[in-house]
Amino acid sequence: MFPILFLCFLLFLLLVDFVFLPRSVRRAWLMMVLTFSVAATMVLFTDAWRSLAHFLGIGRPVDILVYTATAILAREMFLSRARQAKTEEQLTELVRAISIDSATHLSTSKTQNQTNPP
Amino acid sequence: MKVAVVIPTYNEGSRFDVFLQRLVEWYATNKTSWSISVVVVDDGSAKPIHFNVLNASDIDFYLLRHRVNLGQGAALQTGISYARLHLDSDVFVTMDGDGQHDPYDIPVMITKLVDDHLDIVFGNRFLTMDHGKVPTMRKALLTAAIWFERLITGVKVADAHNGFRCFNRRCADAVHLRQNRMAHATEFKQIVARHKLQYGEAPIHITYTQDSLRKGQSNVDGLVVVKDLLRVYLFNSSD
Repeated sequence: MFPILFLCFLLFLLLVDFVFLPRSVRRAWLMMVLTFSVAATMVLFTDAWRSLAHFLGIGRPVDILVYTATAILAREMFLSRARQAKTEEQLTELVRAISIDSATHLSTSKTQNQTNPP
Repeated sequence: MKVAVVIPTYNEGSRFDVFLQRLVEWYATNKTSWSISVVVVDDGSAKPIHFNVLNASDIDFYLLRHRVNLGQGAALQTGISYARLHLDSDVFVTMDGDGQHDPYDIPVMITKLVDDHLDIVFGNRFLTMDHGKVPTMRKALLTAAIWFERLITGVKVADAHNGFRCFNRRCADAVHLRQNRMAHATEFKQIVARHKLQYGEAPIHITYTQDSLRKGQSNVDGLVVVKDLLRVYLFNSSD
């Protein structure tokens, strides 16, 4: 019973995303289909996955997913932090350039017409 | 000698007015041969800064405004870059705009820098008679920070995270702060070590008020500083 319900649930998610996600992320949707397909094989071919788990020295088939997912999530987290740091650096440079360009000499109340620093 | 006093501010309100008043008062009563420019960097304050002292002083004031709040380190770097590139300053002084630092200590810092042929002078609150006025928790935090900075930079100064500094052109050319927030104080020491700059310390006075303590670094911010140092070390592009 569970395999059928689980497969229906996955199909439902894929259909909803296919209908409502913009076409620009269709490749991401295909990637999701691939991922869900692997998940589906786990409930359809449990014996094969159990054999694979034993071959790899892992107790339960689901642990293959847990370990893999943990590694991928950790990698994504680090990459995301690196991207965030880069964006923050670029924002800082932008804000700095604007503030230097629009610096005000208060004693004469005139805005300096200056070029960006090299 | 052209001196640029760089002051980062963020929502300082009346504290900044009082500080500016004292700065102008110092310059008026202690005429020097130095040409003083004050570069105020407003780090995205909610309300605009008012310069009520403009007419009362012949100091050149420059106002730079960050459109968004980036942090004190970023504001300092903006001010230093501006003074270096557009004011052609010889000496740079950095001070907090919340009134904790006393402008009357500026000559002490500059004299130490010039007379001892140093590249940078760090303000040291513990060299003055105000030692006992440092709140106990703040003192404990500073002691931990001093030893932490010595460990990771090798620069031996007896005060940490003191925003009152004075440095020459050579040092200003070397400074490119990547720490946008409070960890820039440690980054200054890293720059000193990396570029083998000559450094020293000068006694300065710090006035703690409930207001400035509340707005300044909290006692748990030490952990944030360590986290920021690690973050920039791991993720930011190198010079």
